[in-house]
Amino acid sequence: MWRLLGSLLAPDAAEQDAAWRRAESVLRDSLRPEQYAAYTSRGYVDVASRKFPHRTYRVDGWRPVGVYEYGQFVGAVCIRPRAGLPGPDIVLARKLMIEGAEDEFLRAGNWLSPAWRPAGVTPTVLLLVVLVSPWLLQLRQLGAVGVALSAVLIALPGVFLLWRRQRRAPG
Amino acid sequence: MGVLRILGPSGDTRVAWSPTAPDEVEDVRRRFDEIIREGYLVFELDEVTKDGRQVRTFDPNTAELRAFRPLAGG
Repeated sequence: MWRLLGSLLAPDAAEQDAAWRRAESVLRDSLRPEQYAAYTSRGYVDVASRKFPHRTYRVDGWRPVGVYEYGQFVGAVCIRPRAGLPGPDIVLARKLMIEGAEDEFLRAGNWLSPAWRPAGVTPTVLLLVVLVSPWLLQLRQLGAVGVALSAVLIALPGVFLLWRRQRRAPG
Repeated sequence: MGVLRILGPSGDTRVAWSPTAPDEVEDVRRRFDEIIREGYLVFELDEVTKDGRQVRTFDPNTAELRAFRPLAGG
């Protein structure tokens, strides 16, 4: 019954799953083991530019390709297949274009200015800090312990963001 | 043994050949030229680094090729 319901709600799901698995297999065969490990753990592959020293492209299968110079985000390139490809195939196609046809990659893609940022946790964390800070400030009524506790709780998101930035910095 | 994997919406199409089999080589060469005419981009993978290098002519001694339609600005 569940299979019947699934086939009615998403008739192409099985084919899409099979295509995705094939694409994962092609990607695994096309990357070095450490690149594939990075892809499976983080969802992206960092690709060094051959034209621009100190430039790295961060490639995944769904967002624009992030461009980093000296480890800093400087913009992004929006480039996609004309026909639908499974996500892992998009990763591979973008990576190969960067390595073997970087001029064409940059010419074909749309450049997004640094004002565009990849969706991340930073805005969410900062919003949470703003929302809970009045409550945290009330902890001072508990005296010195409350002040120390609220300071620690307010600082925690900042520490988390710093740790995350260091962990994700390319190269 | 060489292999050409052509990426597509429903998964890749795999074409393999032996460089010592002239018939296989000719079949793959025809297929290669056909997809190049259709505008596909083809890349050879370095066997050690796995880095891609764009190729426009078929070399039967290549081990790994990947092909896909060009990407476009999104």
